[in-house]
Amino acid sequence: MPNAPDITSQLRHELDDTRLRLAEAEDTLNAIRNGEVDGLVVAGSEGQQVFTLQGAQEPYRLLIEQMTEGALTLSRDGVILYANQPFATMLQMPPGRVIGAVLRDFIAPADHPALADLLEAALNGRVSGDVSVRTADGTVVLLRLGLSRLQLGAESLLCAVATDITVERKREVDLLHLSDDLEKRIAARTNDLAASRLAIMNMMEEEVKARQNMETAHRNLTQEITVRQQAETSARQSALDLEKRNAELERFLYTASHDLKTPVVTIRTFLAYLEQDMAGADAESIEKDVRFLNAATDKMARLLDDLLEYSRIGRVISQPVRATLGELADETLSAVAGRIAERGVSVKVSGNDAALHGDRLRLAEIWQNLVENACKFMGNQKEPRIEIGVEERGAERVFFVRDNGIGIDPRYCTKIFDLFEKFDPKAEGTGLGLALVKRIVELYAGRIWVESTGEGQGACFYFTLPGAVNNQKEGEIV
Amino acid sequence: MKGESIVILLVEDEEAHAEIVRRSFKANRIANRLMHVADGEAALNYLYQRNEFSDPATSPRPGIVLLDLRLPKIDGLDVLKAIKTDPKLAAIPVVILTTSQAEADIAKACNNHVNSYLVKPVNFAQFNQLMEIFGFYWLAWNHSPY
Repeated sequence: MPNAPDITSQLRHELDDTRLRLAEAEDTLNAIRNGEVDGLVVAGSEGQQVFTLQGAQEPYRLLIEQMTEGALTLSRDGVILYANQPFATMLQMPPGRVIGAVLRDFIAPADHPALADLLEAALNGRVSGDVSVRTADGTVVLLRLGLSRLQLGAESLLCAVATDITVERKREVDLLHLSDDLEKRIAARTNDLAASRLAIMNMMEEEVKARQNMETAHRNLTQEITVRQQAETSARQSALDLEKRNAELERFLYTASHDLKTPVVTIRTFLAYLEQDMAGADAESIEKDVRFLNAATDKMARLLDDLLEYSRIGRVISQPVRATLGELADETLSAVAGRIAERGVSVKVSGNDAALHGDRLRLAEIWQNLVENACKFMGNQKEPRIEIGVEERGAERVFFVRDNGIGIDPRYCTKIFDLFEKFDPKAEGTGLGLALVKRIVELYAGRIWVESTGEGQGACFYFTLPGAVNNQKEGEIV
Repeated sequence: MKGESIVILLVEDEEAHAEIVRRSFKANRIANRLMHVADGEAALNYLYQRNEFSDPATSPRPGIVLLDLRLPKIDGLDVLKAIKTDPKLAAIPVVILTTSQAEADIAKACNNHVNSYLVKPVNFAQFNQLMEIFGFYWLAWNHSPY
């Protein structure tokens, strides 16, 4: 390893050599710059090479001519001192016509102020700006000018690089258009979306409507079903009622024909007896025959009357009117006054104000028949009494006709209301009276029953008339 | 025919019809005792010898019952049923004599073991003839335990 003094002296030697060569180079450069020399020799590794000024400028010129950008040298007032071939090509003019021309003359008039600003600003530093150029064939080319100051000795010049940005700008514009288009498309799409949204909302709304319709339809259907079920129930009820009515009618016809046939047998037979007895001039027998004949014809007449009456119930409908129990009782007592007087019955009426609403004649018939019936079965009662009244049993208004006559064996308490049912074979009447009463009561949706502790204990007929009582209540509200 | 003549129990609510039966018997020289009651309850009381019918002298046991169907209190068919379901009475022949020709009545009567079912003729001569035949058949030719 060499020692330090050696290295220091070697380095100092090299430094001195470098300083010398630098001084030589500086001298050469100044000489070239000042035009003092036209060339110089440079010692290189491949021998010495001579560089002239021309030789030094040639590569720059080639470089400038071969670049794609336009390159210009301008005077401060914009006269083109130098332009490369590409710039002339941009203008579609021969370079000879470009050099020496004023740059402004190639620029679209609209851009003249901008150009002036650029030229002015370039003196203070690097600037750039875009200007439009009208080419020889009339097309417009957009140029981007990059300008800077070029100081040559005392003279200030400008150098410029021009780039054709027409395509670029067009691309930008296209891009802008594209973006615009895109925006439009987005807007359209947004509109479409909004429309779709609206459509969907409409659809949803319609669905809601459809659902509502369906629900309504369902409700209607349910109602319809209920109505039909009710109709069915009422039809079934009607069928039952009809069946009941049919059975009743059948029984009516059966008993009517039987009970009508009975006096016919009597009459025909006794007419024959009468003939025989008249032939035999048997006065006693004749009288007896006539008595039977009279009884039978009377019975037949009564039976026909009662049958007619019975068949009328439920068919003849008079206008419903309001009537109090007192009024109905008064009518009854005057209708059966003869019978009451004959038997010496004392009648007591209570609950006179109880109001009813219905066919007045039909309602009166109830009390009339019951009072008549009570008179008929007074028996040997020395102080015959009949009591007409009304009592409240729970929510029910129950009317009654009470007597202190012979009473009824509890076994026959139901049977006595049957059609043509005669309690006592010797009693007058057709057996229709109580059946008639029952039918009227049922017409007003009521019930009728008799209570008696037994024979000789008197009887009390009870009945309800909800159809006449409730009707009245409604009537009062109105 | 046994020693004593058969007692007839007539159950008939129509006095006139009872009179017709009586007269027809008389006309046909049927001399049997004819006991008459006017309703179903009385008929059963008679047969069971209850109440006013408890004395066998005045209310002798009947050898045949002539029964109307539609009767007060207890219906003829119920009287028939009572007779035929009671072993003590079941052997007594029961002949229905009614105006009813209703099939239902005939069927019910037969189902309740009626011995004969006769419909009252509307014609006097026929009624008379029917009673004559009845007398011959049930009172002369027919044999019964009574």
